[in-house]
Amino acid sequence: MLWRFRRELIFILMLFTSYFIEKISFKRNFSNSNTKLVKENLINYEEIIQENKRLRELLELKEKKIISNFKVAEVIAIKPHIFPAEIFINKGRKDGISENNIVFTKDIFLVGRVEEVNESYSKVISIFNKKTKISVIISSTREIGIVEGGYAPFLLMKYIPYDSKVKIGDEVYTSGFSEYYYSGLKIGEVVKISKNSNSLFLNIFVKPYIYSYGFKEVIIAK
Amino acid sequence: MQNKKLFVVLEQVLIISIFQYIFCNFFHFKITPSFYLIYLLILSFDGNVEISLFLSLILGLIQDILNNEILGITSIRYLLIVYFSSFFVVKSIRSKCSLIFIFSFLYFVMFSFGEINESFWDGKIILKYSILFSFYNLLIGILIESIIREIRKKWKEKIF
Repeated sequence: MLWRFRRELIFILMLFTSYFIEKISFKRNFSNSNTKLVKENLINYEEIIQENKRLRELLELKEKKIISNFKVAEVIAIKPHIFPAEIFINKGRKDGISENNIVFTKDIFLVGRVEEVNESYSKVISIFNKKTKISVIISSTREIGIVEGGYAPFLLMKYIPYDSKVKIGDEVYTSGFSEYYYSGLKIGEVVKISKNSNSLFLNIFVKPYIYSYGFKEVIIAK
Repeated sequence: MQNKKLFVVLEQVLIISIFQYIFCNFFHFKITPSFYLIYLLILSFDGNVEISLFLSLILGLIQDILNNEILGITSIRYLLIVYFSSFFVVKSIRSKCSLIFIFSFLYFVMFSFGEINESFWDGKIILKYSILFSFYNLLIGILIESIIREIRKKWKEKIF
């Protein structure tokens, strides 16, 4: 009798087995994907919170009228990956960016200046770049010197007299005696002073504030 | 004799799996024909319903593992189609191919309609692709049928 219905019996048996396997597999897959989703979401939320915080700080600059005419750009590439000499930003000619615009961080730490402008992106040469030469002032002594790039991770400050009272930890700002940079932009602090017997000037190494800055957004001012 | 049958089925499954693997990885069609479904249907049309039902479970699981899907879902699909196809016992290639076309069409339509709400599929697209799927299966069916026959013939000639 049963033999006559063997097809149906095998069918039902196999169907139940498949259904059982499917249920177990579905439960396992569901819990795995749920855990993955929760983890991904947590990472995303953290990233969004951090971005929001940074953008709020940028907005504060405008609200407090620290700087009025500026654009915020996202950093799309840096070269090299540490102490970047060139930075590419996602704003270009169509966003009103022009050559020699100054680039700095939300904390008014000087990053560099725009060198090349394309339609939708621009290239910035940073203070680490060996092309960089900026007129600067030492906060404590009010002496004016020239800061040069090409000595990463530091900057070399030249033309400070041999008998200067400069000391380690002094802050260095832009002096404003420049074609491109206006005064008061923070550059870094003095970390090393060396005296050269053959020269009338000191060799001062400045550690830039953007030394360990995670480049995400920058401000471009006109 | 039973052992011989087992070896025949194993060889057939192995060859079909190789074909399925090659087809899935080296040919890029809009829709991939299901070699396993065709093989199961042919087995069922030949009257080997029990083997076909048992293989539906095994091949469905293999298919799910290869496609990284939920295990068992393809087995259920294969089982339903094979069960309904088992009411037709045919011998000629022409009848087998026509039935492969019909059951492939049903297979595709039945299981695509279940996913309509979750995806962008609509009736027209399902119809278009189910015809394409059935047509591919029909063509592959001729090939598989001849392979199965060859293997059977080869094993028949062997003496243990």
